Amino acid sequence: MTLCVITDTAVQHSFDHLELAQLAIQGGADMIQLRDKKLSSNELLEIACAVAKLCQSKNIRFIVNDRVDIALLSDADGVHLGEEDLSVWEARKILGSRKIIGATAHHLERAQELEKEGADYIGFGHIFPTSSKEKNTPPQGIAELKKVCLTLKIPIIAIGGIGKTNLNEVLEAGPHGIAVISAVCGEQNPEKATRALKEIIHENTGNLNPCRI
Amino acid sequence: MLPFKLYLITDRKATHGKPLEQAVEAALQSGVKAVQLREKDWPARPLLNLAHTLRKRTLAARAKLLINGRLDIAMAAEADGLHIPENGLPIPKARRHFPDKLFGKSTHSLEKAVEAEQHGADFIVFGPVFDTPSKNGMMEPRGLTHLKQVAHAVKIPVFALGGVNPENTKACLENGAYGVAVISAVLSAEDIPRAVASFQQALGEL
Repeated sequence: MTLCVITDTAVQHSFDHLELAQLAIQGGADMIQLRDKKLSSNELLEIACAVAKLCQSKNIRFIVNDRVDIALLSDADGVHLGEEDLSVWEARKILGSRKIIGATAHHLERAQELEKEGADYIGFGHIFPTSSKEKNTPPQGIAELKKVCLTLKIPIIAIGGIGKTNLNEVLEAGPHGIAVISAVCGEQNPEKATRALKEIIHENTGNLNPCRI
Repeated sequence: MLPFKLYLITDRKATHGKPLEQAVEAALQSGVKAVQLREKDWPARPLLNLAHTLRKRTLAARAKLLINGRLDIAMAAEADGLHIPENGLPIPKARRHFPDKLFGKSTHSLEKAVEAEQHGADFIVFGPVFDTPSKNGMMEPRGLTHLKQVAHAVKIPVFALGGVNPENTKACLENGAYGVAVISAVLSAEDIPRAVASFQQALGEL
């Protein structure tokens, strides 16, 4: 069961991306995703290189959101593509077969399309209402998540409004991982918050190993 | 030698409501030989869609297409090059993944221009040289003297940007510019072919 922490410097101002990644890893995160739409390319690349180095030394997966070029130049493990980003096959052409390409889907049909296009995993959501990002689509809910998990062969990472209070519910639906933003980055102690999520995952699934992505 | 002296930079907000593709097409048909796609507030998907369209048009017009900022878009669109803003990707790193392509660099100072040349830029866009209503309006004009210093300090071609029009183009060339980079002077023109022709005449391209 993979716990992915997406670093976010907009929901708080106490920690930068590298600090958040460090704290999340100390708390037990299995995957770090760097997302920042505001930084210049040069700044983003410098941060990506630093986080990539940290993750490599800890054997943690490192994914860059949206920017295939930053993933390429920082030698990240892969890229996560949203709906307004490059397509999976366009990213694949740039990154090659050995890198991870994840993509966001808001419904089952889209998730199936992305699987066909060659995505390595699906970020499915948002499961619950969330404040981290402005959403144009309604929350998908647990039932839809369950359907997607049963239908697709590639790993599903549930995302959107997931926290301590509803994590058990999400885990029952059978995803291969969960991704959080606010539940870690919006907390005063991101390390402790990550550890708390990890403990719930352990209690619920008995599985602390990340899924194969 | 760079095969162009007039470098058209896009800004879909500068076309007075005309679709950007149309305005660029008119410029290409009038003989513009280099276009930089620069729509900074757009996400990757619409940007790449527009890049594909401009790729077809520029190939048909035997013109160069460069993409501002994003190496992934430049690679996916099979553009001729990448144009790097002042806080953009490092050229040596980017070039390793995009070999045999053109790398332009925007600079606002002498130091950055020299650095860009050392990092392997093929050409520099320097500005704003004059007062301008478009994007560089926030910055102090650098003036012709500064342009001259930059042009003399580097061996690679320097394009003057910012408030450049057919009338002051000659002064830019006299102060060492290889060519000029324009946005609204072409895209906002009521008669784009005429605007392009005026620049070409001033640049000695006709």
